[in-house]
Amino acid sequence: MSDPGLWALPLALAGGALRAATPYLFVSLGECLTEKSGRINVGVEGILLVGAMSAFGAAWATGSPWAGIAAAAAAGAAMGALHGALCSLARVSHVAAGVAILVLGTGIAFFAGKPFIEPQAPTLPAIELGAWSSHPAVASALRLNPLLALGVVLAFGMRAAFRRARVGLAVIAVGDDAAAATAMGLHVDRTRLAATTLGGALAGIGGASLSLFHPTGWSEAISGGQGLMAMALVIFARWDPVRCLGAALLFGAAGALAPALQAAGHGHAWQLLHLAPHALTLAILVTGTTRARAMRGLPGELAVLR
Amino acid sequence: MSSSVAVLPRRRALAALGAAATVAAFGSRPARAAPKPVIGFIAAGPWNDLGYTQGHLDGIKALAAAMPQLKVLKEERVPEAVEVRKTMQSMIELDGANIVVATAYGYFDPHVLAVAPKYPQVQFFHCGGIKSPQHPANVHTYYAWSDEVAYAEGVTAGAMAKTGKLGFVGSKAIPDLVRVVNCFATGARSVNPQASVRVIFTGDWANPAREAEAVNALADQGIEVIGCDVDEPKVFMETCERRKVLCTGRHTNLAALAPTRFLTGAEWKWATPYRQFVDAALAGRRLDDNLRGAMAQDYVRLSPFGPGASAKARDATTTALAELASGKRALWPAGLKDQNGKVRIAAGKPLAISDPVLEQIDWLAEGILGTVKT
Repeated sequence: MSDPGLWALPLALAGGALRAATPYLFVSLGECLTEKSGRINVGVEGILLVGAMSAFGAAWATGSPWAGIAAAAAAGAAMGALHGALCSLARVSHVAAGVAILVLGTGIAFFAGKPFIEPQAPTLPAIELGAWSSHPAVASALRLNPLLALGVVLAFGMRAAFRRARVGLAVIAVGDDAAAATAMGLHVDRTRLAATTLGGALAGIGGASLSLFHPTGWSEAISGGQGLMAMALVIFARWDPVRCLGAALLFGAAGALAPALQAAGHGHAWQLLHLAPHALTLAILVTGTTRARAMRGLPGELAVLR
Repeated sequence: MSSSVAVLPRRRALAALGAAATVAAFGSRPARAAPKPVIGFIAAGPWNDLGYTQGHLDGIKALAAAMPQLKVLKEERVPEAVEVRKTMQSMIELDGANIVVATAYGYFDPHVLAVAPKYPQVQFFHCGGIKSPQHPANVHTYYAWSDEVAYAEGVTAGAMAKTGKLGFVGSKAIPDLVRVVNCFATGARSVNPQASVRVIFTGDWANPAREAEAVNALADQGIEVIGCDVDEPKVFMETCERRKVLCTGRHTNLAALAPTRFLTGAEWKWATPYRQFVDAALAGRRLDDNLRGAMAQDYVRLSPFGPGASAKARDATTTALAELASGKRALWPAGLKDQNGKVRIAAGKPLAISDPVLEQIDWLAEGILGTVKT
């Protein structure tokens, strides 16, 4: 019989990880950069939605998914810059400003996205890594999102930059001790503004992946809280971009667990299994905040949430 | 504490104002002349969601086209929370609505039930709720049963699936959905007794990422046809087209979203009850407390067949619908077993579509792989 049954589960999880990891990866890389500079942006969920909406709108209007990515990056950068500018004002709470960005982003995306719910836009062409396989499930699992490939390069590049490059070290210096960084002659506010803006652009590109690759289309329900989960993922990854990649793949696989089991005819506890990514988030927050581990990798300035 | 004391008189004053407005609107007219109907629709989703809310919008548009003189109000994206009370109040007090139609499940209890007693001249219609005798007199519910159209979709799907392996993607495992899944499976097994249906519930009314993942998981398992009942099936249809899996639609005609894979679909036809609400108001007639309809009442319809459906499948579907209508074939046949082989419908006693037992159904029919209760 050609019934793949349960052996298809690892394949489904791998396919789910590759399909769903990209938004987690880009949002967490952006948040990692922002937090490394000593800022926190809890509004990335809003930026993710703005990115998804503007990417879809631009791809629909121009017929090019690449124009959609550019639009998402620009819109995300604008939101990030707004957050960065707000946070550089005296005595502004980063968390409160981030919540404002979250609400504003959601509002903008829902309001401006109204005309984009019905139409269909061109999607990103996949890198067909599974073309060698005659098995449709394998071929489908290995349809690689080009943005994921970009994200992998970016993750390793960011790690290298944080370790060796002047610009990466400047971000870390600013994020670890603003006074010392100033004494070194670094522009604290300017560096943070740049990091927050770039972080916003990355979150916007994460949104583009949602509307242009998987699941595609613009819908108000498209993110399902992925931007919020990506924030927990940064803690799990201990502010290391390459570990963000691993964590993003893990979250992607967790989301595929319940559908894969139900498709194989094992429907028990599906409500609980759907919660796998959320349960993972909670578990990370609990284990990540035990006293012994709390400070590892944490940017020094981030602890002082003004 | 002091603030609540200060607020109370204002709230009373507002209530008095509201009462005065109601009296001004209706009280001064002769008792016999029914007020000109003004109908207001409230929805939780965006109107153009290509799904559940769009089904209502189609009905509203048809109503407005049929009665150009009628004043029609509509508001979208109203949360299933206290916000809906404010929307109902402003529709009534500011825009003069005397028929309020609340289309989302969560509006009914406690919101519609709380607002209705304050406006006895206004008739409230809720989609999907069940009215009991203790509820306010001016509250009504309406709903359309999709059992027959789901059965017909199942017949098409069963006739198209060579190996008999079908799938279904549902939102929440509530009785309305369980009915649809059961009828889909029963219909499929009427043409192919070996057919099986694997059900994936996503747990959310709309969750495009999960729905796409569900289609991928079913396609990976070699499923040939997938049915759906989610609130926004756009991503579902597009993913089926991409994975080259045949599919059936829901809510409105979704043929364009899966041009080569679309078989048929279960559509609402809310224009029918909406016309009844207005006609009853004009005639000063009272409608049933719990208004229900199906194919015979023109509350639902089957989408025209798509290019994916073979002539054989079309014939089998048309025959099935004709036999259901004539009573030759039972929709909920006597002796129907559940997925564990237990007989759920007693021999010799097929259930009618209107049987109240079906409003509480919590078992999946024979041939379905999936779980309702955990």
